[in-house]
Amino acid sequence: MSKILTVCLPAVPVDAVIEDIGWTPFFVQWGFQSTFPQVLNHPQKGAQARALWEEVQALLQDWRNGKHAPELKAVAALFPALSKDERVFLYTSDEDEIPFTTFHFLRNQERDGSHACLADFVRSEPDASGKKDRIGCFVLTSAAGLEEQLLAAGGKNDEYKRMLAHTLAFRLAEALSEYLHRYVSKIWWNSDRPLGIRPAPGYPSCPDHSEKSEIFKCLQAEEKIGVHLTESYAMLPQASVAGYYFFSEQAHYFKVGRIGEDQKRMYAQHKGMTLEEIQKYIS
Amino acid sequence: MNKQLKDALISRVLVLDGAMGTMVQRYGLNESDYRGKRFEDWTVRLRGNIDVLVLTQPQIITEIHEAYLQAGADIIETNTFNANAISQDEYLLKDYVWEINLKAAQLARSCADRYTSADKPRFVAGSIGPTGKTLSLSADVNNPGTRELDFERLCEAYQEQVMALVEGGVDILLIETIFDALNAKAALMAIEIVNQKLNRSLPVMVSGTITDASGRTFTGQTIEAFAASLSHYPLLSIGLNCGLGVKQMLPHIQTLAATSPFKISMHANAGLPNALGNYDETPLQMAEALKPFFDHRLINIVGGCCGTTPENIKEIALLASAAVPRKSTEFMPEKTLVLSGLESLVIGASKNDPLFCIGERSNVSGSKKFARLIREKQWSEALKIAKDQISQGAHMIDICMDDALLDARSSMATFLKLIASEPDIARVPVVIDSSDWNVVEAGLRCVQGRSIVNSISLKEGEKPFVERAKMIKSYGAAVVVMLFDEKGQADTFSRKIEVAQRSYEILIQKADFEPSSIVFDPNVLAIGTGMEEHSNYAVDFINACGWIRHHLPGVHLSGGISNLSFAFRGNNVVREAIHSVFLHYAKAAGLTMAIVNPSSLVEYEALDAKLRDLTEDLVLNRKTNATELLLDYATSLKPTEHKSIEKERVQLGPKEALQEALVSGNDEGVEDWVMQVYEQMKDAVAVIEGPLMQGMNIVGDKFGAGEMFLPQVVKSARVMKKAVAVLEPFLLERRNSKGESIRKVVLATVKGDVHDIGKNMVGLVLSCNGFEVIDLGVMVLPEDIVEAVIKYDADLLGVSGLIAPSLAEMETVVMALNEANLRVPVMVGGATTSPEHTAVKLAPLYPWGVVQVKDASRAVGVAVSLIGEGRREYIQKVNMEYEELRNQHFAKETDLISIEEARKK
Repeated sequence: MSKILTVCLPAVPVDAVIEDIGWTPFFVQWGFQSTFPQVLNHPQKGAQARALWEEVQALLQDWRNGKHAPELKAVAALFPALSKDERVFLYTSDEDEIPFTTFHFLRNQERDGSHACLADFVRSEPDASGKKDRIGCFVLTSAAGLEEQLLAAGGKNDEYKRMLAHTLAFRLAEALSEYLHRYVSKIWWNSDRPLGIRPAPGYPSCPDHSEKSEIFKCLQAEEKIGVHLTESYAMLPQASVAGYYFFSEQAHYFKVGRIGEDQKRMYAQHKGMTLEEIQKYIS
Repeated sequence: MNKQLKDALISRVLVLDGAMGTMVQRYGLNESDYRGKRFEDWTVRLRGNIDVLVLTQPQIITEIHEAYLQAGADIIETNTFNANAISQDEYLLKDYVWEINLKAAQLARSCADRYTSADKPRFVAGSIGPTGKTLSLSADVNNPGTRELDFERLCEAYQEQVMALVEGGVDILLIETIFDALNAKAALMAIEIVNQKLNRSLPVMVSGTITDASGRTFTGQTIEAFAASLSHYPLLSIGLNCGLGVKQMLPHIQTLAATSPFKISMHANAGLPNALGNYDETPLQMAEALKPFFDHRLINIVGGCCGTTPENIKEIALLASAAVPRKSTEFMPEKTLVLSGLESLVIGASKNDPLFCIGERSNVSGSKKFARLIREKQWSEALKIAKDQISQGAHMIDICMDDALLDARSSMATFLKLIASEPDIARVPVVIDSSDWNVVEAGLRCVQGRSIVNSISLKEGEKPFVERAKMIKSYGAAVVVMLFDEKGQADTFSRKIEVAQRSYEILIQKADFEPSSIVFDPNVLAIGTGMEEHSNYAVDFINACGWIRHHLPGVHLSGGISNLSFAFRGNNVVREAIHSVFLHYAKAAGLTMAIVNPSSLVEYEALDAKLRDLTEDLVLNRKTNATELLLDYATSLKPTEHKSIEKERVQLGPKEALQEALVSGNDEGVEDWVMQVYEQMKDAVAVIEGPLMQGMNIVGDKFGAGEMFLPQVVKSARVMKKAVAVLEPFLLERRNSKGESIRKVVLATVKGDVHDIGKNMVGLVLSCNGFEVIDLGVMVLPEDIVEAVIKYDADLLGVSGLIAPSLAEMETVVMALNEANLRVPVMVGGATTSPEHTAVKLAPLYPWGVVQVKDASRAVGVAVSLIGEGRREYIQKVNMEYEELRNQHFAKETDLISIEEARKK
């Protein structure tokens, strides 16, 4: 495997990801500050939680049966890659010497901090056989066509049904992330468990939202699965996830935290952006 | 108890250390650090298992202990919060639990000893966490009667932990972060067993956790109920930790201090967590918030929980050194018995107490219907019987499964577990009723509240009596003692007082029982049987009550009433009259509670006068032919209507039906009712501002009080929307009909952002609270926001954003408002917003009020404050808080190193 490997899943069945749904965040989003499934039997919250549970189960069942269901779509790819400091260069093959694009990351600079950077989890040199390291990335959505389906289901003015559908779609997106991570670990590395980590731009390990546009370009995500980036790099549909895969055993999540002016200037220069832009897009 | 500890607690407020996890995080350990050499090849991930670090990175744990000791902690906690077989199973480290605890205790011991000086001794508390599993709630969606873990297994796991901690040399055992009182009872039981084995007894601290604004534990208990559940053990202290910040703890600690005879402890979090789950409160802020606790002398032991560090403990120690500790005075008169379900029930605190009713219908030997339902496993029907008794006025419910055709043990356990998910039942204490000790014990292992066991007696001699009494005490229950001894039932007055006296002395002296936890049942026996020797039974009972009250101070009295009128089966008029008269005199003589059918209680004063007289002749044994006279007269009376306290369901009028629909969120038939109300009132605005708004206000209030949750609110808003839509055609001149205008709020998600679920929730919650909501949707340009504010003459603007770039857009929005000379107050919300960002970036740009709202549940409070009469003061207050936040923000900026230097590490 010396070239880019890509995966495109245009219609993952809802059934495939059901096991991976995390219900606690669902209840938290609905204001129940309790873990699932205990919340269902909770003396104070139980009755209302059970009502919500029954309704979301009915909706999920509809979706499983294909009734007014959104589509689950994902695209991912694995690239030959080498790192230099805080950057990771992506190549079309192990033999290539010129990278076709670059992912930019940030390093923790806090005196008592970890000083980690995601780029550290990609080798800077090819191995003895000349093989480069690998980095992956993905974009997925669990809500393709959801708004249209809601319209078709006649729930346009029913705010409750809309919220129920959206909050369920968020959980399906997370479940699909887990599913996809297992899927690519299997087909790329023949591993039965998800390998490494999958940090997402805008989160603590890689706080720059604007890096999503690089991922989208590499994967042609908008063309392939119809996820759109706004000018602030929010994704539409909302129930979408974009992220990287680092498969190294050392890979772990951390927080970049506050960064210094030196790194900010260098980062802006590498990305061809102004300092103000950088400031805006880093969470 | 350690004398130094005792002395220290009298003279000052002791300081407990802060968080272990927060400190460990600072080290940024990776998987291999967690594994160390020892677990190099472990097959599962160990990262995150902080407890194992005492084996693999002991120097780090020592450093953390020392940092807290240097900061001034009097008591340090061992790093053993999850060092039990249940939690360690996840890491396949079950077999190392003993070693982890031993090593952790030894590490802490040697640190504490190094820092001990004559005037400042240091102590070690062995930390015992709740495990991640609850004994009181089911983890199975479809089966509320199952449990992931049982009492015995948890108790065994705790024994292992406690034994190792004691051997490692801890001074105190600290059961903390209790979210389920039943888990804590298992820990106390384990401690007792270890105490017996080792023949020593360490002081025990317990500390519960309040999960949210409802002020209850995770499993639903109020503070009072929680304290009652654990009141059987002679604790060193009771307190609260985790869950809340210091500020939010105040009312709860006050409650605890007012109800508990023990010392009071508190180790709160460093404020409430922000969106990322981090704690932003500074050490100074936290210490500042502690002042009222010290001023009111509410606490004896104080430290920190999640997010706190040695810097916090340093500030706390500084304040504590000048503080006066709380004095544990007498809180309740000795004779008070406090029981609990989800709520507490105080018996004997006042002379005006009612007679406490114990519902008798959930008893298979007393109710054929209940017996059948249990046999056929029709649980929900059986639960309904229990529930009905409570709605009819039972203060507690008796549960009995003693029936030859039943597996009483499993039926008892299952029924009690099912009750735990029924708030209307679980709120009251239960009376576990069985003559089989195994059934009693199975029941005690399922209840988180403080219950009563019914019953034990001297029937089989002193030895089993003492053994069972001791066990009941260890499970934290009170006990009904039947007046039986080896010779049999005590029927006459002299036998009753003889057996009562003997039982009392044995319980106090040999089973260490408090008098207030003893409930005597002097045997209610049938009268009017035609046998001469039975005729004085009621009088003997009443007299025995009086004697026991006077001679055995502090105890309570109960009786199963239906037995008394057994001879009059089929004649409800007479039976109810006999019960009524009997209870009247027995209560006057000191009867505290009675096992009755609450729906058939007739008031003494409400009895027919002649019937009452004749009944008194019988009950008080005043006439030899009382039975005949009573029966004769009773046949002339019409059978009284079955008196039930349950309210009759009144046919609802359309207004009430409309409000009911709003509160329940059920929109069936709403259109009809709205039209009916409109026909009545002939004024659409009045319909909206009257019945509809009143209904929505109820919803808003319930939501604010934590009784109603978002799904329900959203559904209520849906009903409201439907109702208003019906009225729309009649609403044309709405704005002009009255001078006053409705409060209007414009909502928008900023340019480039698509977050709308949270924003919509806020919109709906506001619409439940009298706001007209104009929602501009998502990706709204700043100029469109400004235009809408002007066009609708909005009272309030809410802007929302999920992702970081939206923060910059929010700055653009407030600047645009400034340019347009608008002074509308602004709320900002969404995952990316924070008080800090608002304080640093937005507030300085806009003096007319810009406030960050954490979530939909807070939106109403903030919105009302921002436009209400006191808005100036409110905005001023918020601006001051933000200024403080700004100062802290700039003060706490973390120290950075150059990028080159960072790369080297």
